[in-house]
Amino acid sequence: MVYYALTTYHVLCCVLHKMAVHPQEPATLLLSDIHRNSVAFARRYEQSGIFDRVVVLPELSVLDHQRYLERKHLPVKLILRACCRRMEELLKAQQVSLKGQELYLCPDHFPFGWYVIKNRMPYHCFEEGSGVLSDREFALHNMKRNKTQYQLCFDLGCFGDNEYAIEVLADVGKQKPGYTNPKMKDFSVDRILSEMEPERRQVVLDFFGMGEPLSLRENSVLLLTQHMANLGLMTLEEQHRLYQLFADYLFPAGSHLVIKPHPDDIAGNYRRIFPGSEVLPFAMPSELMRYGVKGRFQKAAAAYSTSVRSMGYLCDETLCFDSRILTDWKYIPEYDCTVRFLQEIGAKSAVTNGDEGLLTELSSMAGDKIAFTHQEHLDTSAEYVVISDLEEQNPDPLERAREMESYLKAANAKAVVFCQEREQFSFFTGENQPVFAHIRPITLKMGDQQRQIFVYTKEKAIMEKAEQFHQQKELPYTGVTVDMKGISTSEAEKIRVLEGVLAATEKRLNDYIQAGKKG
Amino acid sequence: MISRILEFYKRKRRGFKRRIDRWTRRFTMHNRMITEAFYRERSPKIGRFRRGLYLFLLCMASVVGKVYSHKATPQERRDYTNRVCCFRPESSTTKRPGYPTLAKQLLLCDVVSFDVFDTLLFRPFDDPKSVFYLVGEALHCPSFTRYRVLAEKQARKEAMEKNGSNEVTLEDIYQKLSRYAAFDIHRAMELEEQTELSLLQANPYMMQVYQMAVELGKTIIAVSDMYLPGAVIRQALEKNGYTHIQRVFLSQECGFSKRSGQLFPYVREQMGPDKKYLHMGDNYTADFIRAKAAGFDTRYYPNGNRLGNPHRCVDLTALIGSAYRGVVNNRLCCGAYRENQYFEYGYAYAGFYVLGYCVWIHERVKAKGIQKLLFLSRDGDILQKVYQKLYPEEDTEYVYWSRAAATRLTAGCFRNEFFLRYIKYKISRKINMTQMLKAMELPQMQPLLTEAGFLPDTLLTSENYEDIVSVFLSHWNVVEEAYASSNRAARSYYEEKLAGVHSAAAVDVGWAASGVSALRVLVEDVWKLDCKIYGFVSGANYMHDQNIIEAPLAAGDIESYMFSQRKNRELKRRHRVGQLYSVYIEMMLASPSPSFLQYEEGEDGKPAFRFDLPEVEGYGMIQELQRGILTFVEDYTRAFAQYPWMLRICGEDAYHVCRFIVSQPAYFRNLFGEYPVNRAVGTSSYEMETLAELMEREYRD
Repeated sequence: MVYYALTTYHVLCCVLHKMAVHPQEPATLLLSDIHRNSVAFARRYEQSGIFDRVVVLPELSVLDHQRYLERKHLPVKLILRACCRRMEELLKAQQVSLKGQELYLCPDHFPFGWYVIKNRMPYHCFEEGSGVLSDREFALHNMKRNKTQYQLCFDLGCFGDNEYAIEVLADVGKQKPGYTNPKMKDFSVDRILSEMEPERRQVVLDFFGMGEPLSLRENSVLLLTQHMANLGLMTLEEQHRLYQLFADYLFPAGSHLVIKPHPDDIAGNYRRIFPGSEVLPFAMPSELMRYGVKGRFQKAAAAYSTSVRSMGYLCDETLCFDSRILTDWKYIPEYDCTVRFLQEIGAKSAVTNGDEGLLTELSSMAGDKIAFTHQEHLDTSAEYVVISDLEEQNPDPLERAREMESYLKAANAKAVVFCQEREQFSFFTGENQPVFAHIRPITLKMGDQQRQIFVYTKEKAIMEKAEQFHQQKELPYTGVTVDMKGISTSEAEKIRVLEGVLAATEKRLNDYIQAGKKG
Repeated sequence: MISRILEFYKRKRRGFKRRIDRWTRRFTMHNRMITEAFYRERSPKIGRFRRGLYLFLLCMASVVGKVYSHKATPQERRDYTNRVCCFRPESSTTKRPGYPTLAKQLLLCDVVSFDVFDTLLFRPFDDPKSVFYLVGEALHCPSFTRYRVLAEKQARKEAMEKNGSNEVTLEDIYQKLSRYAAFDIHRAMELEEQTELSLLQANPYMMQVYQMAVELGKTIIAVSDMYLPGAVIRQALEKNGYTHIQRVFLSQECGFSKRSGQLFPYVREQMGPDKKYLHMGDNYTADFIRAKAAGFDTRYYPNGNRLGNPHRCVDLTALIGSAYRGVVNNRLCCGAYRENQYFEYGYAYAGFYVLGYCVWIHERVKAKGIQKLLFLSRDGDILQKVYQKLYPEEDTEYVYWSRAAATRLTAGCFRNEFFLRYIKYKISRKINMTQMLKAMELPQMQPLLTEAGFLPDTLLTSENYEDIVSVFLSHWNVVEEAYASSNRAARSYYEEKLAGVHSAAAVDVGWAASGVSALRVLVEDVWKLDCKIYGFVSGANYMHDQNIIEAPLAAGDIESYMFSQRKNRELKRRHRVGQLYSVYIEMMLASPSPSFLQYEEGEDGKPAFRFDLPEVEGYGMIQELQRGILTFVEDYTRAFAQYPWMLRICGEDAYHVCRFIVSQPAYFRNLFGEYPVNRAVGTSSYEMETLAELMEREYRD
């Protein structure tokens, strides 16, 4: 019997299938070297004794050869033939014989799968991920990066859509409602794990390096990381800063932090940036989480991975944002200052054109929860408004300023807060100097850095509160204290200088406007 | 056939290019006369053929004229051939692999092995031999560096003859050293060890890799070909945060080196032959080829100084120059930081000049017993920030000042300055009376000028210049009255700033020290405040009158850091004002704020400020530049925290680094081409030109 696996989840499927269905039969596990984790832990997998033999299949070299031939513009058929030839050589070199063996492939759309289908070998197919059999869009979308693989997926009938696939092992309960497939056979990882005897389950946990279950404290919180740096979405340093801000702002102070790195988040240095925290093994599939810990988490947070949503069985509260968080995270201190100010002036609800989820969460962490509603075009009747310029589309700053001016004129809001992520004085057209009579800045000092948010209000009481506003927030993981303060009258010279600069700016803007009118 | 030739050429293109370069270099560096003439006249606009022909003619002239002079040494060649990275950030040219890529490689091995020097640890020098200068200084031995190098060479030679290996210990070297100078060997060795320990710092890139290896639970070892004792190397590693290194393999302890190819098999034998190894190091032969041969997986980490030095200025003093290049290379070439070009401009060039200038000012302040430093706007902005960082205990202030304000405030004393700045220098701009008076803020002069026949739209010309001046002179009381309130506001402002201060110094960039001179006159003679004003400028060079500040320079009231008629006059001659050298150096000290225009009396009687139109388009660039300067100062001072005298950068060194960059117009055109320049400073004209336009005009003229 031969099992073939690529990712950590695939390895888990193979392990569970072997233990549940063929516990006594000899079996070989072929690990593809495309996924580094599998290769790195091959020795440990072998030592576990679940499989009689664990072989690392250098499949990456076949994939490289395929890309090379693709660059030479060879037809897909020839590429397939060349790849299969190479795969045969590799199997020979590794002394793996597939003849007369029962084959379990997880998945079947990589070179080993091509080889099996091309050579008309009957096999059992696992679905790519839980529930993916009925929803292949995401998997196919990812595959588009490799043209040949995408083409072969349809030509060969991968995902079990060919005559040689005997059955497709999939989690029936997680498929799209109404989905049917005559070859589909139920294989639920969650169910198998829950039905397993604890001793046998411990074998699975040991296999993935979990060891003894972690006993949670009352104030434990869970941070599920993602491999943003690996995907090129940000640098590793930025990824670390993002999670430091998450831990500082989104978890209660003094919480016991437990981190579960994403299986591909190998570069993350969480023990260093979160001293005193528990870091779970990154190569552990999240399906094992419930057996890897004893107790419940107060809160679990992830940046934009929805997998955290399905962890209600383990956490009192789950938190996840959308992809906007990839840009918004840098401005968490400004948003926190905004919600703190709104709380101080007694706001219960507010509208925003920014990240309403993040603002709401920050408000609940800072004190009384404020219900934020997202509006693309801000409502003039709203009582409290938070303006973000991150999603601003209009490239002309003067036009943007005019739009903002007309909004401020029409609005009946008690207070409008400008978060000014990108642009300061976005409300100033060069002609509406009286607007400054209603503007009060709040300065955020974070070590050497200084940022500002502006409060626009016509109410004297709110204006005074903005002037006297002073709060501090310690960020233990980031290692700074944020000092949020309204501008005081003692800084008279500074104000005079700013007035001078502003007058000069106004003059320049007006000159531009005049030139524009003439032109 | 043709396609075959093309194919062949494509394959061999690199080789051809290398050969051509080698031949060109051989001809170019043939002798001094050719080298200097060729590089002086080299221009990217001249084609290869013409350049080749020119080189050929130079060689012929050298033969015919029997010019025999020495060939440029490799060090000297670099002064001709080193080039700045004009079109992309230097930090992105190193092409170090990203952390996720390395993490995947780390994951596959059991033991991670690192080279120590220039990989895990950096010295703040581009040449390790520079450390010997510091040891020699502590030993009061002037030729120590040379002796130390010779002694090491001899010790290695002897070891090779004796043991067949050139591995030596520090003691072996110092035994040999006793032939050159008689000092306590043990004390000297200890001094060298202590000096190394005090200078070594962690490589931020490798620190991250090391931490990833720790996080992944790998066994970490260090392997080095080094004469220093193992205890010192272990101490250096621990001191710099490498606390999880399980074993350190040293060539001198094992008796064979990495380069010989024997050390890696020994490591393998010691750590376990079945394990998977990954080695990272900066030496291609010792760390890449030899490790690979021993079955290690390898990751070559090219030496940062090798990558960075072709872009560094070399014509500097040996010790400070090495320190400058080392500090800059360590940051820009280590791979941990991806910075933008503005930051790099601040870090690699402006930072060195600003640091040197600030330390020099501090020395002058101490020598003259100056109580307070006034950093004049806007150039003083970054200078004050750096000075504050270096000497936080000193009394410093950033004060608003400008040529425009000074001209008006001192109009009563220096009338000609007033006429020159507002009338004569504006003739070329073809402005009319209205525009001229707008810049002066003297609209009340228009009826008087009209009376004299100068209508509002009359153009300013060199023919009517003297007549206009006559009108002003005959109605001078109008000018004085118009500027009286501004004068009162300025006085009140400086009275507050100089309260209780009897000696202060004004700091400016240069060049005629007009700001400093004007402030001196106002404070000492006009307002008669009880305070002596000194002046510090970074360079004194005034195109219109070379001797303008000769007397104050001679009297010591004004001092120049880099050059003046009295100091480094050769540099002054090479400072080409016409090629905008001064403008580029001023840009190093730019501030993200508008130019100061004038003092005003506020409604409450307190001084208020008026500013010129802000060049906001350039503020983002300037902020990055300032960040670069501050980071350089931080890195350099941290590296030499135990050697404060290493901060004493002489003006000549500072200028050479500045000149290295300001003599590259392509760099500025690319980087600051869009930078707004208000050539009519003080006229409140919104019509700004870009630096690219200014360069085109000035270079054409």
